[in-house]
Amino acid sequence: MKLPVNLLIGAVLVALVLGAAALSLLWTPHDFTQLNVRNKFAAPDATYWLGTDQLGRDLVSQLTAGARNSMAVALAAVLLGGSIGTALGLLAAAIGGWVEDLVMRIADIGFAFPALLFAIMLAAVFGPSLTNAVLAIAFINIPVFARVARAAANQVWTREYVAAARAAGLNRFAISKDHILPNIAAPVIVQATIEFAVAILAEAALSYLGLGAQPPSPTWGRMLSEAQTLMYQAPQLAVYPGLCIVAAVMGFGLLGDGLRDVTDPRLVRER
Amino acid sequence: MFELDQLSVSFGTATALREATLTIRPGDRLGVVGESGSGKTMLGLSLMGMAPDAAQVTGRLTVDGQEMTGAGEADWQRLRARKVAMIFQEPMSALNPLRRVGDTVADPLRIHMGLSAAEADARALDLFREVGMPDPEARLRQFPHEMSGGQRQRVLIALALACDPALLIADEPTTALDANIRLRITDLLARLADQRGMALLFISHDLAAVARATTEIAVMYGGDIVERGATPAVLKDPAHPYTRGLLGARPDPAPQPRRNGKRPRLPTIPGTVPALGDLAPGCRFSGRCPVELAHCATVRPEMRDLGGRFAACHALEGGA
Repeated sequence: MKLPVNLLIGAVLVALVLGAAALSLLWTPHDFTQLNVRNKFAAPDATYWLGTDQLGRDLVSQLTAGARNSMAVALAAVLLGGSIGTALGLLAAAIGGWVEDLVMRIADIGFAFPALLFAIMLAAVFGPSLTNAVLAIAFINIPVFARVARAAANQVWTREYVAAARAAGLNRFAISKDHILPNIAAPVIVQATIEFAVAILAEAALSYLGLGAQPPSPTWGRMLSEAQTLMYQAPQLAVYPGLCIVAAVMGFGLLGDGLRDVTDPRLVRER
Repeated sequence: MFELDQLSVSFGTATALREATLTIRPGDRLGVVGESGSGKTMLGLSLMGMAPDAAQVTGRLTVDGQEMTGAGEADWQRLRARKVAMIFQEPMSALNPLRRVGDTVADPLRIHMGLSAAEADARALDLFREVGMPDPEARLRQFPHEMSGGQRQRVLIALALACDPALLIADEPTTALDANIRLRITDLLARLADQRGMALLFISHDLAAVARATTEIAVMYGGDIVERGATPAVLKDPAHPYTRGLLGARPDPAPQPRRNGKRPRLPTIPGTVPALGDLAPGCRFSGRCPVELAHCATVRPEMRDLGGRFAACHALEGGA
């Protein structure tokens, strides 16, 4: 089978970002918190590959450490929101009737609620922190996964092997766990990949607004916001984190699309 | 013991099963035959408490004296697998493609018999041996796509037998199988029912399979049971005109040679099965029946005792 181009490009970009993030756990070229005011706005050279910022900190080290933070936030948020949402979707499909209606209407309300607004609300009540950013992004993921999981689960419930499982005396929760969940894994994983991209962007936006990671922990969004006042003096400080965000979001987005193309036979036939 | 008293299943104005009255005793081997849409499957599903949600079920159903009319899903869950189990028609789609077949068979054992995972696996192996699965140890760990149709059907039989049910419903168990496997699966079901003293409800339109596997037969048409009796008697000397037509429509295994380049036509029952919505209020077979009387379409014929056999037909009045 020929792999779609978007899958390949996405996989390469994701591998680069994840590789940089993983590497930063073990090693960065310099200490990203190390200030060196005498060497601020340094041009790229052999020591500082992309130069330094307004406080003389190494940019490459900050960007890779920022990748790690972005990945951690996106992973935690998608895992949390995705598992709660998928569980709710499975429950809705398993019980049906008014329970299903209730869950899905609440999901609709959740959809209508802007993530940023919710994050600002959390920050206002509990103070800005990375944890609150994770909670806010997880929250907006719940209705997305609830919908995807319910739609896929409802399809699987009509299969004959589910009837056979009922005939074998399994209750709807055992059926959901053993028969429905494995068979909806493909669309849920595809959605998770796409939502990962959305989460990276959301984290950058929250950090940019000062509602995410707090100094000195570097994130791409915060680097952007700090570079904003220096746009005329040193535009590269905004360009690099911006490019990183674009690469990561595009990478996960393309990977998700590519996975969907590969796993959804209906789309394959249309191409 | 399963007792149906005037059990009906309908969808709005369409009646899929009309006032079925039937008793299934331990060890009975009952064949249910009829065309597609005659209500055979609905009869089987009703006995499992698995009629579709949209269906209105009326009449009475008791299982070992326990009233199951209008029982909820939780009550049925306690009966399924232990009192009544079902084998589905299409062995490929009736097995979860992402589960090892051994796990699927072990499920009801863990849930209903309270066995540990290891005990359930050991019991699943016994069941695989009992249903004649070749190389049973290795098969337990396989996925459905790694097996042949006959092997998959054996898995489903093992699953149905897991909790030693009093009644096994086999819904067209041989229809999706190759001809050479059909006889073996049919004989296997008959033998298992015999050995275990288990009742068997064998739903099929394969008259040869029904003749081999069952001792009694119920012929269905348009949601009605139209004839009932000992299998050999009904097949040899059918009383109801529909049963006669059904038996007459069996293709001749050694057809006449071509004459003038034309094969003789296959025998058929004239007309088609009417849609469930526009069945006649009287005898469902009116309109296609060769011996139809004036009141057949409007007055429902009663089940008539013909000396140990039963048929519902106005034309049998007095004469038979």
